Amino acid sequence: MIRWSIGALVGVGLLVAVLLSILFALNFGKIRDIPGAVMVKQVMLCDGPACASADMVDLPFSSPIRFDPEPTTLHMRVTLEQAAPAEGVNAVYFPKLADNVDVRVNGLLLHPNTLPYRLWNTPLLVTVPGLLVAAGEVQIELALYGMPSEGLDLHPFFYGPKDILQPYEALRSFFSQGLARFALGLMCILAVALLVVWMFRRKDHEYLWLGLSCATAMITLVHFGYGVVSAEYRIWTLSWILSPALYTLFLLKFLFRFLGFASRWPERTIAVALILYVSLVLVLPLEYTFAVSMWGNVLITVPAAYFGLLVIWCNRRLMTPLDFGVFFPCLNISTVMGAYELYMMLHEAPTRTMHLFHFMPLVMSLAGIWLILSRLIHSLRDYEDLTASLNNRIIEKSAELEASFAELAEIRQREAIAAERGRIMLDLHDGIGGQLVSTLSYMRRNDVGDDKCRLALEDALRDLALMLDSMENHDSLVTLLGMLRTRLEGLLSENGIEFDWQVQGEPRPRNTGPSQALNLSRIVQEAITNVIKHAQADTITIYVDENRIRISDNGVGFVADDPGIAENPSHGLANMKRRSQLLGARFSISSSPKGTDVMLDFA
Amino acid sequence: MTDHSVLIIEDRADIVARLSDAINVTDGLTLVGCASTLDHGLNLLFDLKPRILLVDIGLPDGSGIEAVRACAAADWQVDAVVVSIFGDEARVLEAIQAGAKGYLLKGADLGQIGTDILSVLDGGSPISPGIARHLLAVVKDGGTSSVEPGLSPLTEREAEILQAVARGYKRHEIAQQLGISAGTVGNHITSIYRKLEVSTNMEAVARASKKGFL
Repeated sequence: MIRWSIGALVGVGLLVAVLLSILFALNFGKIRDIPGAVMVKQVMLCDGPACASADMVDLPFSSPIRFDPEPTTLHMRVTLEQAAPAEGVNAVYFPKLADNVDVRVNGLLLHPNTLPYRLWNTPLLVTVPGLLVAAGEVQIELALYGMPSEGLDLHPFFYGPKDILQPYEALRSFFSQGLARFALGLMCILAVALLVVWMFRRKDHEYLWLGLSCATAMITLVHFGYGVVSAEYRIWTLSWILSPALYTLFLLKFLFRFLGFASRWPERTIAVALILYVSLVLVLPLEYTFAVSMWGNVLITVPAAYFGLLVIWCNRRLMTPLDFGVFFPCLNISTVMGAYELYMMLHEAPTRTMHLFHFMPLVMSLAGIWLILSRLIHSLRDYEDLTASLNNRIIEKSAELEASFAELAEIRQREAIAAERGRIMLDLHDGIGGQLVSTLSYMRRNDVGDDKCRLALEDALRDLALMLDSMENHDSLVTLLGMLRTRLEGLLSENGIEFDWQVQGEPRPRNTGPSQALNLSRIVQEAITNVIKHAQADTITIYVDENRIRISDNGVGFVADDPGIAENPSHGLANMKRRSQLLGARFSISSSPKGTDVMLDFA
Repeated sequence: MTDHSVLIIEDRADIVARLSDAINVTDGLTLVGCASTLDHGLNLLFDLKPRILLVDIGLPDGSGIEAVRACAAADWQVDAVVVSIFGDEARVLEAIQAGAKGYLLKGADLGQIGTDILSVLDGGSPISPGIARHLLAVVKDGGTSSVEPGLSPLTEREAEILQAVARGYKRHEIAQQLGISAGTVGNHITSIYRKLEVSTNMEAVARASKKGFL
């Protein structure tokens, strides 16, 4: 959606007016006195080549516009006094005239006209041989050619030493046709380059429209740079005058694509107006070709440029501040140059002598190129950022992937270990366990074997149960102790002993895992077995909290290394100590005639 | 009072003999048959229609769990009791899930076996600390996850009892702590068993078994 507002309409108008005033005030190319040369400000306007009668006219002179299809000739002459004989070569220097001229000095034709090349944007320097002007009087005769419908102009000109006049001519020539030719060359290169880029990026229409605008500008620049009428007068005039309108159309298309507008009505309006004007020029008689083309240009280009300015101003948020800061002033300056040129073309007797319009394509196309480059740089930067962030993500994800692979491998290994452990447990369970139970059943039923044998088998069965329980419940030591109680309960009641079970919380030993759980089971089992064998107690108290496990009895206590005890308890104690160390617990034992305390401390 | 008929499926002859002895010395129980394979055992189950089935899990031609399922689906009243060497959690839990009323240890005293069978008949399902811990894990997982709607969550009291059992406390001790009778504790445990049984979600059991091994 294209935004605009009345305030901006007025504001942009004022801005253009101010810039135009500045341009007028600067009055580029104003014809000033040249020290050492005579400036001719008045000439005789003759009725014919013989100059039977003549009127004195002031320069600058402009012929009144006359709608006549035939070219016309104006004859002028001026006589100058030359005080001293000339040293070296003299010259006549015409800063500005239109459209072409024959120059005679003292009757000799020094510069025949170069039609159809026209000198309207080209200064002319005519060398005057020294011999010709040795006498004191110099008579300069001019035959000015041109189309009466466009007007014939002659601005003040100079007579003097060639050495003095030539640099002036060169400078003016550089700024007028010289820069126009430079701009022509540049537009040619840009047009080709942009169109080639577009060939490879067909979807980016900005390149097409900017390239076409450069190509269109070339028509006008040929006219400004060479003053050539290279085709039939009507077609050529139509072409070079209306090509700025076409240029504006292409530039607007470029701008709209760049800003991403979908609206087509502004460009369609311009296109329709252009077709109407071209048709009109083709239909009307030849003498109106220039005027109608020029007015067509005024009526199309001025509003279009103004509209472009308005759109950019009101939609400046769509551009970066820098892009806006480049493009908007450039379009302003171009618009002002256009207005200035129209004044010079349409005014019967313009007071300004220097054409500036050939700067317009330079300014505008470079602004367009700036926009494209700026966006290219932006997208390059975005691309670099994207690449960088993608790289970072790849590195990040690779690390994650590596970590998860490692984790997976670990999990697999753990699962493999767990599966293997499960298989071994089942084997123990069904194989050895089944065999032991079976054998015990046989012995009990048939009353064979002695007690020692039976007890040993029962011990083995209990031990197997202890191992299986330790593996199954290693992650909960209170459950493991509970299982131990279940396994030993029968044995205890056979010996007339009871448990006083005081389990408060889950102990947290430093080292964990099935082997540590088995260590704990064996320590507790050993302590209980000792009570059964030696303590003559009737109660075993098991106290468990987070930091300790205590196994105490109300028996008679023991004396270390008591020779009366067949099995050496110090051997059992050493085992318990060793297992406690593996578990990461402090082991202590104290005994008195009131009983024994075995303590595992995890704190 | 008529004796309760008992069928045994167990492949080790000595153990069968031992179980038979235990049943014979227990008042109120009569042995009606023995089978050493699952196939034979299932045939006898439907022929004899016993009140109680003692079944081993690891049979030569299959898993005793199938016999447990057959009992659960039977059209007469029959309680399946798993005969286990150690009362290991993984397999006992699977059996309970399939509908077993309890388990008994093969290596126990004759008198103990008889008492265990009678207490199952009375509705007193045996439970070990390891099984309690597994039950807690299974029901807790099932209770908090919507993927296993078959599992009913435990009541606060049931969870409390399971936790105490898992710590090694006996029924009478738990009853004392909670100020209830030992029978009520037994009823709670039976109720927990039933909750587990109604769930046929094998995944939960598989996970519980895995947890047991891990």
